[in-house]
Amino acid sequence: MTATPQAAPPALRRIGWRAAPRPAGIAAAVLLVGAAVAVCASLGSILPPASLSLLFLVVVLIAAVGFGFWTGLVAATLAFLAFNFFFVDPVLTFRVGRAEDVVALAVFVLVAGLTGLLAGRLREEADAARERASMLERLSALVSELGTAADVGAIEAAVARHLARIAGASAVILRPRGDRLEIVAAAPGPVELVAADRQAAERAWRRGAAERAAAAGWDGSAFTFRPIVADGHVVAVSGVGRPPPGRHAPRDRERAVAAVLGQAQVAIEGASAAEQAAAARAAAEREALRAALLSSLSHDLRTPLATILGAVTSLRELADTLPAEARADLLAAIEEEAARLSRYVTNLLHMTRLQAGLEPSLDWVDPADVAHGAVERARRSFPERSIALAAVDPLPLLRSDAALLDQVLFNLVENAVKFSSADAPVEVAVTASGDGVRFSVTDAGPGIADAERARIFDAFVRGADAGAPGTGLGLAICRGIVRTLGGAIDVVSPVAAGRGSTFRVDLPPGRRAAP
Amino acid sequence: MIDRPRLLIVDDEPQIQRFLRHALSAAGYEVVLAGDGATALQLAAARPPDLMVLDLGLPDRDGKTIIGELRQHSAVPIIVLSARDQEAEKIAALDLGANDFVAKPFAVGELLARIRAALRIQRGDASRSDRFTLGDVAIDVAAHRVEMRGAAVKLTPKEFELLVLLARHPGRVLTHRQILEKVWGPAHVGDTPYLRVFIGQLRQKIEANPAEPRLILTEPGVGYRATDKV
Repeated sequence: MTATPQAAPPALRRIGWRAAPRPAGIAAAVLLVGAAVAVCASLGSILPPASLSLLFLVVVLIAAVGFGFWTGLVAATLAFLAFNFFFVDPVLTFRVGRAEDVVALAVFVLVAGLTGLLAGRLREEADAARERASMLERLSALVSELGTAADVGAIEAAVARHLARIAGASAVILRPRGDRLEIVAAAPGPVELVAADRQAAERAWRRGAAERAAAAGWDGSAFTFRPIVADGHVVAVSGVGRPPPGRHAPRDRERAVAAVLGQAQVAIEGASAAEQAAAARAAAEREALRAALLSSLSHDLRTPLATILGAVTSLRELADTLPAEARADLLAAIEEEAARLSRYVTNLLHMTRLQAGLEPSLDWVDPADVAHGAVERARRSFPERSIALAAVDPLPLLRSDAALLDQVLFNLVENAVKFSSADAPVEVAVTASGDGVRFSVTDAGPGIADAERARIFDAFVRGADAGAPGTGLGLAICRGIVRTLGGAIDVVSPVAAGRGSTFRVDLPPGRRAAP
Repeated sequence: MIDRPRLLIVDDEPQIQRFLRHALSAAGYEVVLAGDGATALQLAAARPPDLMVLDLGLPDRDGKTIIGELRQHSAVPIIVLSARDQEAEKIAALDLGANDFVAKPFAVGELLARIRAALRIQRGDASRSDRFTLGDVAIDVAAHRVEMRGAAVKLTPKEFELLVLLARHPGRVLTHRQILEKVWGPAHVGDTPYLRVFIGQLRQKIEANPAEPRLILTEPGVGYRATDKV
C-alpha cells in the first residue's frame, strides 16, 4: 500500500455565525412553524390578523435562541412562507392579493430575518463565551499544575493529560533519546505508536513544524504531532490523536492545544533553568569543599611534619649541645606529632572514601565492644584526661561496620577532649534505644550555641573557640559514616547548668537497604 | 663577654615553638617566643632583637604586614617560614623587606645557616668593604677588577655589577625583582629571562663547572643566592 497524501483534518466546528446549521435545528424550526400554523388556524377567528404575524415572530425568536443563527434564518423563511400561504389572502397560495399585505409581509420578513439573525448570534456568542470560559478554566488548571510540577517528568505528564482532555483523544509526549524518539508521557492510558505515527513524529521533530494526522480512514499517522521548542531548539514532540469516529470534536481545539503547548514550553524552559541552577550550585559546593580540603591538607599535614623534621634534625645536628631534658622533650614531640599526623591521615582517608561513596563491610557488631575499643584508643591518645564508659545491658547486636563505628566514637571523644578543659570528664554511654542502639558522648565544655549547632557537622566548620587546633573534619566524617550505616547523629547543648554538649548517635539493628 | 644574639621567633604552632626553642638555644642563641603578630611587634619594640624568624601564617594578621610595619623603622634581619607551595607569598615577603626564607618542613641545619648568614651580613662583614672574595673569586670594587686564582676575569659592566651585588650578600637570597631593580633599574623589574641569560654568562666565566654552580646558586622561582661557604 502506498502512503497516501495527508488529507485535511476533519472540518472543525467553529463558533459563531459561520457554524453550519444543525439538523436538529432545522427539524425544530419546521416543527415550531408548523405549531404556529396550527395555533393560528385554530385561533384565527378570535385573534386579529396582525397578532398572527406576531405569533410567527415569537416562533422565529424561539427557534433562533434555541438553535442558533442559521436555524433562526430558516425559521424566518419558513414562517414567512407559511404565513403567506395560510393566512394572507388569497390563502393557500403564495400570491399576495392586497398591496398593503405586501408591505406587511415585507416588514414581517425583515423583522423575522433580523430576529433570527440577532437571536441566533446571541445564542452562538453565549455558546462561544461558555466554551472560552471552560477552556480558560482548563488552562488555568494546567498552569497551576505546571507551576507545582517537581520536575520535567511531572510537567510532561501534566501536559499529556490536559492535551488528552482537550482533544478528547489520546495524547503523547515524545523526547529524543539518542537518535530515536521515545514516549515519556501518555494519557489517558499507555499509547501504542505504529510505524506511520513514529515517522510522522520524527518528521515533526526534524522539521520543527507540525505534522497533521491523516483523515480518518486514510493511511498515515493517527496523531497530529507538534514540536515543543525550548531555548531555541526542539526538545520534545507532542502528539494528539484524532477523536474516535462519532465523537463530537470540541470547538477551538487548535487554539486550546496551542495554548497548552505554549504553557508547556514555558514550564519546560523554567524547569531546565532550575535544573541548571541546581547543578551549578552543587558544582560550586563541591568546588568549595575540594578547596577547603586542599587547604586543610596543606596546613594540617605540614605542621606535624615540620615539627618532626625539625626535631629530628635538631637531635642529630645539635646532639652535643642539647641538654638531656631538651632531648627527651624533642623525642616526645616527635612521637606526639607522628600520632597526630596518623590520625589526620585516617580522617582524610575516610573523608575521601565517603565522597567516593564508600560501602561499609557489614558484620555482627557488639556495641559495647566497639565502644570499649574506641574509649581505650582515646585514653591512650589523651592520657591526662578522664574518659568514662557506661554500657547498659542488654544491648542488641548491630549489623554494622566495626571499624567505621570505632572511628565515629573516637572522633566524638577527641572532639569532647579538644573542646573542654583538662580537668573536665568525658562520658561515653551505650544504651538500647527502640530496637537499635544509642551511643552518646558528653563533655563538660562551654557548650554549643544554637546558631552553630546546625552547621557543626559541616566539613571544615570549627566552633567559635577556633583556638583549639583541629582540622574541622572530625564531625563531618562522623555524620557521613553514620548516614552510610543507616543511622542518625545529633547534638544536644547545653546539657547542665548552661554548659556541656552531648553528641548522640542512633543506629538501627540492621542497615536499611540502600535506595 | 659577647652577648648571645637575641632571636625573636614568631609562630602560632606550639609544637614548632617547642622544637625551635630547644634547637636554637642549643645552637647558642637567646630565644624569645611570640604566638601572634601583635605580641611580636610589642616584643620587638620593647627590646629590639638581633634577628626575627617569622611564620607567614599567623592567626591574627598576615605575616607580610608585620614585615611592612617593622621595616618602617627597623632594619632587623627577618627570616620568614613559608609553605613549600606558596611561591607568591614567599616572593612578596622578600620584596617587602624580608631577608631570607626557609620552607616548611625544614631541617634545622638549613634554618641555622640562614640565621648565621643574615647575622653576618648585618654585622657588615662583606657589604661595607671594597675588597672581598666569593669562593675562589677575588673582587676589588674600586679597581673594577675580578681575579680567579690570580688570573684576571673579563666581565662586562653589567656582569660585574651583578657579581658584586650577589657577593655582597653571601648566603642571602635576592629575588629576581630585587636584582633587576638594583642592576638594571626599576623599568626592568619584569625581565626575568634577561637576568637568567646574564647569570648563565657569569657562571660560564667564574664557575669551575657552570653546569653545577657552587658560587651562584639558583633559588627556584624566587631568585639567586651567592654561597656563604668559604
